[in-house]
Amino acid sequence: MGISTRICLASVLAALGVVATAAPASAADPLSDLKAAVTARIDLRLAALEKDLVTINAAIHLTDEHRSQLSTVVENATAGLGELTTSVADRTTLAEVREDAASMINDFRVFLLVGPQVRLTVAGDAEQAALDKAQEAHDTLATRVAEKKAGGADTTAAETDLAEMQTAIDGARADLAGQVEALLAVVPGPDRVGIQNSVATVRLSLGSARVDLRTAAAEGRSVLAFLQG
Amino acid sequence: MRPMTVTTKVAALVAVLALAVPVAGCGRRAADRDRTDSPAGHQETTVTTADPRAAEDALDELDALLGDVESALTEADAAPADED
Repeated sequence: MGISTRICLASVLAALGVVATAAPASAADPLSDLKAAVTARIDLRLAALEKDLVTINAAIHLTDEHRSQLSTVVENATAGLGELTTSVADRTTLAEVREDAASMINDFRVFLLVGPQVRLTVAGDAEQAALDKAQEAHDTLATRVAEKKAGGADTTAAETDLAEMQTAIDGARADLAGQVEALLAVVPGPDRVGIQNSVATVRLSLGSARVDLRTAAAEGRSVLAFLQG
Repeated sequence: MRPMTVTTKVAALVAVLALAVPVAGCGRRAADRDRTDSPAGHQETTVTTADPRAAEDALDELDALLGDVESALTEADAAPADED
């Protein structure tokens, strides 16, 4: 068990009030108490996974591939935690239950990884759909501006807006490239900080893509105003 | 009111017909013009203008998608990290 895992597990057990040295005198059966506490924590994770599954099924912009990948992640975690619940119930020593508590965290990372994988993939695929739509809008606007120009209109400002729209679209494309795939490639493990950093990097990139897409939409509106003017 | 004589009646009928025929002719000419101006008549002059409706639709859809992105990111940020 790594140091970070030990620290993490210790904090969990402390939060549960089941650290052996600090056990209340009234605790008649520390093993039962620990089992109940760990089982409650597993149930929290199972409930979170159930919500994740609802999110996956409700997300309209998820690609089929990502929906399938995420469903597999959630279903595997649900099955694994179900087995862990049985394991905890069968344990006969505190040490064994502590091992299960560590497994509950390190082998599944429901809150640190699976939840963000689901929600950020949903966001990333929505951004990809927005990106495609922004490009479609840009190309349609460019055609209309070219028509106006051919008709003798001064389209200088509109062309500048179009160029800025394309720059923003390209920026969003670069922000988004490979982010969801990288996130889905992260697997649970004892490296809490490593997982946290991976998730944070993807979240940051999706945030930048959102800003770029907003810029693209604003530039597109300017061009549209010119065409309608 | 005095009853109309046959002569009066004939005169009235002629007057009505005299008005009705040109009006009907007008209608026919208008209908003919409509037909020849229609695309089927191949006499319509096509003027290409910048129609921004398709672009407007795309931008509206983009706004809706950006709304979905916003919701998804907000949900992602609101999710608890808990004790993992």
